[in-house]
Amino acid sequence: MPMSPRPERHSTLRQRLVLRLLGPILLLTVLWGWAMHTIVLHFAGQAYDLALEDTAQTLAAQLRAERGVATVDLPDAARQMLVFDREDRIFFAVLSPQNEILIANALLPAPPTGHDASESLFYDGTLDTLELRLVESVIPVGADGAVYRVRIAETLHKRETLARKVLQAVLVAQVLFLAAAGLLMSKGVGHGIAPLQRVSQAIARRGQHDLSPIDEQRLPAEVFAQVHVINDLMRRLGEAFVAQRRFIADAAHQLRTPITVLHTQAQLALLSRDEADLRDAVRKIDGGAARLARLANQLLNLSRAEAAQVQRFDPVAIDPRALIEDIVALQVPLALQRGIEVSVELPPQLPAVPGNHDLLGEALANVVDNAIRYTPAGGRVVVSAQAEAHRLCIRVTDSGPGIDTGDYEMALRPFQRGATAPGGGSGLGLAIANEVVAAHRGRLDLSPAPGRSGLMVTFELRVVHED
Amino acid sequence: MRILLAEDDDALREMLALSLRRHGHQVDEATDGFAAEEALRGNGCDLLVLDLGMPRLDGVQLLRRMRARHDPTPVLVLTARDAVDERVLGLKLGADDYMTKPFALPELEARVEALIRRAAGGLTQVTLGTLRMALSDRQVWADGQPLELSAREAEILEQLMRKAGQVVIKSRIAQRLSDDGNAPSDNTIEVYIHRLRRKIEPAGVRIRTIHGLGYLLHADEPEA
Repeated sequence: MPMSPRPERHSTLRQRLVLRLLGPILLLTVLWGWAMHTIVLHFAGQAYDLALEDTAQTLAAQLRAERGVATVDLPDAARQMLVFDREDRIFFAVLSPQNEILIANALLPAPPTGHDASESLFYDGTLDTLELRLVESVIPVGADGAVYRVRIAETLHKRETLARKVLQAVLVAQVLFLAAAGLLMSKGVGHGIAPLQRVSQAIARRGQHDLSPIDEQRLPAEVFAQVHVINDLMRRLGEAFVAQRRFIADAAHQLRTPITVLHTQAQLALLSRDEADLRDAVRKIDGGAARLARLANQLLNLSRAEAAQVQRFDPVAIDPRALIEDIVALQVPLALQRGIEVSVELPPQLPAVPGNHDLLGEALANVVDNAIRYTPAGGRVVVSAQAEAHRLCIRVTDSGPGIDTGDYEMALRPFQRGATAPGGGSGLGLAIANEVVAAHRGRLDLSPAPGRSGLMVTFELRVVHED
Repeated sequence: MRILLAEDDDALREMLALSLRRHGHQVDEATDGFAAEEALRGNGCDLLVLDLGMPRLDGVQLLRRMRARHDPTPVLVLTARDAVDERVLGLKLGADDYMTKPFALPELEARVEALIRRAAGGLTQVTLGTLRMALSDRQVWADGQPLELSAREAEILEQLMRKAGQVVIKSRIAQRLSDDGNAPSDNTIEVYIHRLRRKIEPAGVRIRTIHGLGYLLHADEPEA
């Protein structure tokens, strides 16, 4: 069984979902139980009320009117039947239009409101300390329509018993319902998040070099999106690994050639018999070693520039004038040695650029160095800068052979040297500059030098916002 | 001058020692940090050329221990590592100068000379071609004949001569000339340069203008 680390402080997705769902369901259940309880009591109450009214009608049927005076004929047996109830005590009273009691076994309270003869009125009342449910029916008696009232009352015992039983039944049903709902939810949620666990197990089981995509089949849409992102990351990581391996292979290859040359030159030097030949061979060895040294430095610079893209550096505000002046000044002796005229064209004001001084300096030095190396004697290299709408453009223009526009993209890749490249270049200069500028979230642009043969390299850099 | 060379790579050490001896220095060799430390405590030296990556006691540790006991010997550090981070470390630990392998021998020679000179109290004069300037009062001689230069001209010439063969950036010339915070204009500098040229070029040196950047002084050798 694969280990799944789950620190205590992390609540599980399942817990969170179930808790989220259970709260509202609990509330709904309580509301639903209360409603059930109320409805059952309402209808049961109505049934009891009707029975009470029946009793009232029975008593009303005993009213006899003789010459405008009503009497109630209630024999003992009838009276006993009237008040018989298995659980509750029954009270009755018949009142004349003048509110005189014709017959009664208790002084029953009057209804809170009046009502007409067409229907009975149900109401609650008390007798001494007894809580009662009452009904009053109005009975017109005789031709003159004198109105008599019949009141029947019963204690609340069977109603309360019913209420209690209904409540118990509802509560039991609800507890069962909640338990079942909780169980089902937990299972359902577990089932729902199972794909997530499958995915995490699939990742946990992998070796560190396995960057193949996770199976995206049969995944729910939400998990699919996550897995898709992970797979995309894996793919890019895989590409980066491949690029890294290719870089190392290319680098080794690049080092191999000058080392072979050195080796050959040294062997020739050993064979040479006369001093002049020897000196010549040794001079070539010196030149080869210098090229090798330059290549090693360039490789380091390139890897540092690439690392800068991944590990972000803390940018500082850089004065482009000082940077350009310092870097170009260092390159001038090489240019003079090669018979190339270098000039700098800067406007009086230039905005500061956020960045890393060493990296930007390295990038510019590489591009200027390339320009000098690729330009034949008698040529010109111009370094200029200009502020352009939130950007600073530093341009290095040479009068060399230039690069075919179709080869621009290739020229920015490491180890790619154009058809016009002279010996001695590492083919890394533009790649380094490109990486550095990318790490500064800028753009390195190649274009033909305006108005003449040659290459123009433009550094497009973001400027420091003045606020 | 007595130089202690601490470097564990035999080929490199022998070569460096040969080169330094050829330039008239007396060279002691050490192949690890402890040997170097022993030599420092024993004979001492005027300059330590120190490789950072040595066995047993490495250069960083040795440097730290030297500075901890206030050993003032100037140190030139050599390292094969990437320059940027180690330069900071090396200079923090008290190295006086720093070179990244691979380096060219003439460069090493120049740095060694500069460090020894600095330790000895600095330069007294600078020369280029037949031109010579005494740094104490900026008196200039061409071919042994004193040259009449204004104070400003002499100041500019000193900057150019100290960095002969390299570009001296125009805006920095101006900054260094500003005595009350007001740097002279580009035009003013150009006038000074123009006058300087007339006075010194007969002595076999040239001031080259690098447009938009500055000036470069070099000896008037037969040029390619």
